[in-house]
Amino acid sequence: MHISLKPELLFNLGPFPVTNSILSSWIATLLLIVLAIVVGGNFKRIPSGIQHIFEMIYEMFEGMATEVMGKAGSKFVPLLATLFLFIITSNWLGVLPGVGSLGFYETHVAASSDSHAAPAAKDAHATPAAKDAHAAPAKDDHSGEPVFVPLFRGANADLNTTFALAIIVMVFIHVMGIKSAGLSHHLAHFKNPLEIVSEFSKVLSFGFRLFGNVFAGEVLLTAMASILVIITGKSLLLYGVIGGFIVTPFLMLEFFVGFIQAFVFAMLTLSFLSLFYKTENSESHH
Amino acid sequence: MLESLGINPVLLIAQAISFGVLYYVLNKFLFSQIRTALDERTAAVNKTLADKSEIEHRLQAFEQEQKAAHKKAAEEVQKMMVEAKDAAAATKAELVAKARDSANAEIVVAQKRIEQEKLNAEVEVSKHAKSLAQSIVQQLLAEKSSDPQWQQEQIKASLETLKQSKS
Repeated sequence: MHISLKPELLFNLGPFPVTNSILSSWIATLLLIVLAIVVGGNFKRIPSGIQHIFEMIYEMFEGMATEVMGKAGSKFVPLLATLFLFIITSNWLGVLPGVGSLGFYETHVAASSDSHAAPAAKDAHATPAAKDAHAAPAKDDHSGEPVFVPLFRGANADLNTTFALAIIVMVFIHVMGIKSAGLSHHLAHFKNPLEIVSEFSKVLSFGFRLFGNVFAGEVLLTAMASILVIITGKSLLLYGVIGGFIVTPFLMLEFFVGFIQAFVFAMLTLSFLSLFYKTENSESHH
Repeated sequence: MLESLGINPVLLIAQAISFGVLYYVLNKFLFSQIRTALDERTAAVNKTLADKSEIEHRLQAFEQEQKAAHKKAAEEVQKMMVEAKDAAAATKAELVAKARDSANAEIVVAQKRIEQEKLNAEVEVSKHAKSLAQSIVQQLLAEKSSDPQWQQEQIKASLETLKQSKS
């Protein structure tokens, strides 16, 4: 099996490369925007349905933010909730059938950097025939053989997404630190050069943690699907029965991981924020 | 290295921008409303709780007031009863005293009358005695009038007694 670390290029929109992961992230973003406008448009005093879920998430972060940072924490709740909602939505969309299995074949004439794409039929819903055809990885990517390009890829199984989030969060944290404590006071945190290194390592850990978990999940599902294909051969009945035992538990696991990672991302944002954001009654760290 | 990890600055910036848009939209259309709704709900709950405690306070005050009023009323009744008893006793004493006084007065009047009667009787008796004495004296005088000497002596003796009784 060969699973690409990189997102696969679908097409170029002018100078802009549209990859399958950015497509997924746009879908997740669009979904949330539509939900927000629909729920916000007929917002009810007594919540129900999706509004209730949004309120619950908001209140959860409100509770944690005010617990960690006092009253000042409540103004960071929108960021935390947005992070959580975006990450969990794209993670869960990434587990849906079709992601990684729907796609097209592309014959690479020019050896582009995106040609590492291997058949990533990870999903139980992919036809066994397709799996079978691509279960054995084409080792020679640069030959003229057709390569499978999945149309969708979990948005967070792309380092561009996770690092974009990580950088936004870290920039936000430092801007807030400067705003609350003043530039000189904020810089006083970094007398020790190791502290500066630590800030960069936070970006890396943010980015790689999320990517690693989601990507590992995709690899895991692909691996389980491949095992399933090897066991069942071409029998659709066996495929369904055995798949229930060896793929479904991992799908559940991925839903759980998707939630946990979204939660962890938001919580780490909050805790890093609380290190630098100076509230009225908090003491300086140095 | 970045290239082999698939990191592409254009894609990274695009992701950042789309996240920014998402943040803006969620904040504007959803979170701001949730914020207000939560605040309103908190305010409403706080108001309800405050109202509740105030009502309880008032109820307690009312109950206490009622109890105090009851106590006061009972005390007043007690007091009035005592007063009434006292008044009754006083009236009784007064009546008795009055009765006694009037009885005494009557007794005095009766005694006076008795004395008067006694006096009157004495006067009557003395009148009778006088007239009796006169008639006796006249009879005696008529008997003795034949004797002038005796008459003169008698006149002298009578005059003497008159003089004596006058003095």
